[in-house]
Amino acid sequence: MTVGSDDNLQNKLSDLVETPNSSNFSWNYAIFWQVSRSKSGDLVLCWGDGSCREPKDGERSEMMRMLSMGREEETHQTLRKRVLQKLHALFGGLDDEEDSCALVLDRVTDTEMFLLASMYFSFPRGQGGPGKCFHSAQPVWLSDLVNSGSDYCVRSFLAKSAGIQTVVLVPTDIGVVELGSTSCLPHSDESLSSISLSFSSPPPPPPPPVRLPVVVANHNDDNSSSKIFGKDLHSSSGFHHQHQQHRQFREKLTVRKMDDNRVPKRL
Amino acid sequence: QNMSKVTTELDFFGLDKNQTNNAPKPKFKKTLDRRRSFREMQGAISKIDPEIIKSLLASGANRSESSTRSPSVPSTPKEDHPQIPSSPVHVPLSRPSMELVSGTVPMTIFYNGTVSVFQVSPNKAEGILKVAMQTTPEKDKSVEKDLSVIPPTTLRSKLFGKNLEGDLPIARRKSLQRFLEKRKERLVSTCPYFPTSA
Repeated sequence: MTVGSDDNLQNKLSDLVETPNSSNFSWNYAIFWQVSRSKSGDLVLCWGDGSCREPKDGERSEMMRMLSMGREEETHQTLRKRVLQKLHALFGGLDDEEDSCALVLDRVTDTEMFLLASMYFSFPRGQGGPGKCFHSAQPVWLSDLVNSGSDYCVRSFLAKSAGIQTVVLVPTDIGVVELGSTSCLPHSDESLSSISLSFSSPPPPPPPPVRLPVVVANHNDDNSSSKIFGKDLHSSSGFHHQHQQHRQFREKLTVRKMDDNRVPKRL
Repeated sequence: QNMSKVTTELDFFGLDKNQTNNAPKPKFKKTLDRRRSFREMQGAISKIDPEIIKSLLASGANRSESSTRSPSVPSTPKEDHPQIPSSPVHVPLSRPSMELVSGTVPMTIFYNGTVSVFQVSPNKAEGILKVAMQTTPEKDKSVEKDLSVIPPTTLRSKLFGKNLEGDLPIARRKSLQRFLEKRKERLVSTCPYFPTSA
């Protein structure tokens, strides 16, 4: 079970992070935790893919900015790189790999540290923020991370140091989407719906009508839809269409009521 | 689950089997030494029930030089050890300030998604691996029969590469590669000269 191709998943995540909506909003990070099975057959959520961006000017409070300056300092940077290298080695990376060496170059920002460290996490059933979310099948929306008493996940401290104030966890049938923002965002059902739709596995295509003999291309069937490789071109189960819907919903992040576009229309 | 309080600490910055003297080394060199010994550590890895290791170690301790037993070895049942879980053992490791027992190496064991590090003599390590071979379920034939002659990196990639987390380290590697690619592009666009340091 995958969310389409890998590129498709990455595009969706990048989109959430890099493409501001009509209110000029975009998330600071987006992670997809993919459901999988461990060798013993247990369900486990592990890294699917992720995307992040640095906070723009004005996105972080003055205090957070000053605190982060301390982490730019040499010894702290060395510590971060060492941790990343150890994680890389521990989880199967080889020393002479380009990845390992590249991590040593340049500095590692708070946001980057959060994302890179997250790659090594996995959550057994019901454990950790994403694990609990998947298990309960209920979305989680935390608008005030800094002041919240408990940690949404063991990685919370990394998220906080990156200035993240809002964390959203959206369960789907194939994993959990985790989103974060440096702004305090109010709960939005609309956002939750569109995200859930975008990252769920597509509904099964409607069964082709039984007919004899084999259908020739361009032959008009009773549905008047043209087919390519056996799939309806205009089927709402196509990812392209889903992506379009997603964009439309994101445009309405702040206000409007969602009309019932969730039900796939049959043509 | 009553195991939430017992944790395993990974030996990230600590034990080095070649630490013969206590003279402070320059920080960076220490990093290199540790990386080398870390790699050597991985020469004795297997997925076996730490309970078996415990009993092996216990039997070994009874036999000989038990007075020099490393503090990081999980103690035998007769000791005053707080609840011993029935499935994967989580062993709180002593801090690196403790003296290392000479002639022992750290042995890392991965079992059912958990990690434990034990301090064992090379002979003991071999013995444990032999037992692992015997207790490994039939279907797991993919593990090499003679682990002792396999170079550490090959063994590591064989064991680590497979599911510690369900067969998807590939996703992580791809993400990492993409991340670094993006980063390179960003660096080149903002600073055409190769950055020397942070």
